Amino acid sequence: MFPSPVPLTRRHLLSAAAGLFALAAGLAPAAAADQLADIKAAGTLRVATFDSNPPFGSIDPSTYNLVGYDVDFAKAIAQALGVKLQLVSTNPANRIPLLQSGKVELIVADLTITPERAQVLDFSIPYFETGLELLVPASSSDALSSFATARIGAVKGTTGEQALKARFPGSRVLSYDDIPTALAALRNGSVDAIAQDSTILAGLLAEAPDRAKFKILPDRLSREIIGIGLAKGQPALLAKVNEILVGLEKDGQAKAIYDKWFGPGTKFASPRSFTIGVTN
Amino acid sequence: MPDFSVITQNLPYLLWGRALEGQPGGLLLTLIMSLEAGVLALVVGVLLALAAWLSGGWTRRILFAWADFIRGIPLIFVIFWLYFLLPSLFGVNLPDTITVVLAIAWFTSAAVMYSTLAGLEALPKGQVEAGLSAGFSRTKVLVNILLPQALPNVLPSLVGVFISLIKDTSLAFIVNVPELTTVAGQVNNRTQIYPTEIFLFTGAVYFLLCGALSLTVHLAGGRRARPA
Amino acid sequence: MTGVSFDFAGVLTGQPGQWLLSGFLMTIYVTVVGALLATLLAVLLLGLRIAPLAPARGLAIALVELFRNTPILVQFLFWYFAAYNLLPRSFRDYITAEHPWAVLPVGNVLLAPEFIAAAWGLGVFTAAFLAEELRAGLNAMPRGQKEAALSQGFGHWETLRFVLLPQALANSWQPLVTQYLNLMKLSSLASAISLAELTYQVRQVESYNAHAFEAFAVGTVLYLLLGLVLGQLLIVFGPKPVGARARRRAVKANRSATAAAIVGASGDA
Repeated sequence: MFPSPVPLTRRHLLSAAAGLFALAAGLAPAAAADQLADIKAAGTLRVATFDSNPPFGSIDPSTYNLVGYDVDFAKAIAQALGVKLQLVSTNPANRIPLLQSGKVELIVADLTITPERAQVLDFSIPYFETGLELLVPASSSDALSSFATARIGAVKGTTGEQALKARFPGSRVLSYDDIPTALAALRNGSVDAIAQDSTILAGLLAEAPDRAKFKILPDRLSREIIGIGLAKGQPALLAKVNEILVGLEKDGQAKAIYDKWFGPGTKFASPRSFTIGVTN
Repeated sequence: MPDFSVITQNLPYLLWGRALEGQPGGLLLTLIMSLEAGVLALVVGVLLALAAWLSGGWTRRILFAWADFIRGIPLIFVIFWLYFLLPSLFGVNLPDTITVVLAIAWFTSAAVMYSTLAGLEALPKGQVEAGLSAGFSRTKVLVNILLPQALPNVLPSLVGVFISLIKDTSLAFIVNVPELTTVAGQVNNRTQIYPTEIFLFTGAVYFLLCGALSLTVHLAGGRRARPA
Repeated sequence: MTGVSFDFAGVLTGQPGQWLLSGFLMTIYVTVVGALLATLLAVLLLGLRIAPLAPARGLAIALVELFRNTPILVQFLFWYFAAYNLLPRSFRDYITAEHPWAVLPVGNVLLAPEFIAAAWGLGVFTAAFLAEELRAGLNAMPRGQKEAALSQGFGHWETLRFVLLPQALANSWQPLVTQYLNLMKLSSLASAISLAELTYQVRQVESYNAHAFEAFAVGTVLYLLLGLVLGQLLIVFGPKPVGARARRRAVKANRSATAAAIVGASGDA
């Protein structure tokens, strides 16, 4: 008997679908009672961070270690908790599913605080601030409005994707897995602009050998407040992370990390417009 | 003008990733994952084929439904199910690399099952009757007489399955497991303007790996084996 | 996911439902265009593969081996990010310009770099597999037919078109269908080059309202259904081997090949 090239009979399909839902309905997610206690017991903190988005997280070309602003915060938090740090490299599209599936306890990956996200995860107090801007070819117009019906590259699972759809309903948003990939599409002329946090765009341009061909538009699409993401219903962990962040601000470590990546003389130099723990 | 210095500068990373720090990556991880998934798929697939051969009726139908279900959806979905949803449903949390290996092995075992079963059923029917009348049980006939003949016959198509599996490991890219395609993407993301060089190199590595296997089967199996 | 409660309305209605529908249609579009392209290219490859000229045969073998032995994901990345960039700028600007006539219902746009790269990538990759299946179908035919056709004054391409191809198609239709279904499933990887097909939209829904389980379940069922329907259509409307002898030949030819076809087919990525 040879298998039919038709992959399924109708009965197969129904039984498979039924099995799928039975499987799902019968099993409750293993919700950790107290992740903070679990982390301390395991001796390891697992943190999702970027691997291709300088200055937040990228692979150092000489040591091949993950480095960046987010990486340094992850290290500082693990150190304050007195546990080992395990970095899980990810991209914008995968970071929230990673948290939801329990593969990491924290997302420290330039995650903007939004009401939609707050429904599925909790945020720490902000530890960074930036704004959504457009990167366009140097020859393009400077006005945001001239991109209202353009093809605009964004990154899957980012606020840029949603903000663009809200602000420019006539535009065509094309989403890529990662930010440099979106820039590659801009380079090819496959999109007319890319939307991203200004710091990420600056970092991207700083690394681009052909940076003279692009420019960042002066007008912001939105202001982005960045926090650390963690699972819902973990008050102990949330309180501890907030306490650590405030502590890092007080002892100057937070500013030192900022200056290392964004201070004067760095590729991404820009003044620090926020203080952790102080709402503005 | 292609500038392959981007390849030579990043060659160690592309070939073995952070193996020196105990975290194999790049081509080395591709090979490790391929071998792990290959062995697992072979064992599971052959067992499934034996079970399908021995059983009739519903058991057999369920085995085929299982295999067809897994082959009927894109591999990327199998990976997503295992990677993101298995942990949230079962609370099982496996290392990323293992999750992808399991997804690929599961996906491939269905193909191994079909190949092996086709090999078993292509054997002359007389052998079963001869074995049974000599007093062997059906299981003994299958394991001792049929399987040793069938496996060499289906070896070319199993190598074809393995070649597909090697290529399938590139899907680990979707969940950032640092095998060859992922590290090539990382280098491309960092250096930005050399996609042609990087993807040509990556393609060439896969081609050499899979082409060599394909050629070996072709030379060893002669005309009988179709290039896989 | 926290808590086991399923909200399928959250992915099947409103904006998410719209996205999934649009993605489902895009998967169908890219599958159809990719399959047509693959068929044309496969015939071309087959013609070269059985040509009387050695260099032509060599070229066909080289192309088939090249496309079969590299992952389609790497091929997609190459076509979209590297090869597309080599096209003239004016042509690329034309592609990305607004073409109201090229916008299909639910906002799908086919005249766009990601669609072109995806359909082309799927076409080229699948053509290599189709060509090998067709050649296996040809090998199952009596040798005399080709010589007879050539001796009656048919040229190489006419012989292929009118004598060999119809029989090769009929002989190897089953494995060919498997390849077409595989093309449909592989289109899921075009989400990596921003083609807004079903997988892309499933992920979009997931990142929009975090209904990961529901979105993945709907996507899984849609791929299964599409495969089922497409497979039935191709079998019902496809060529059938003529006469009992031909059927036996086809079965015999397929026998050694089917396993390889099923697998070769379904797994390749």
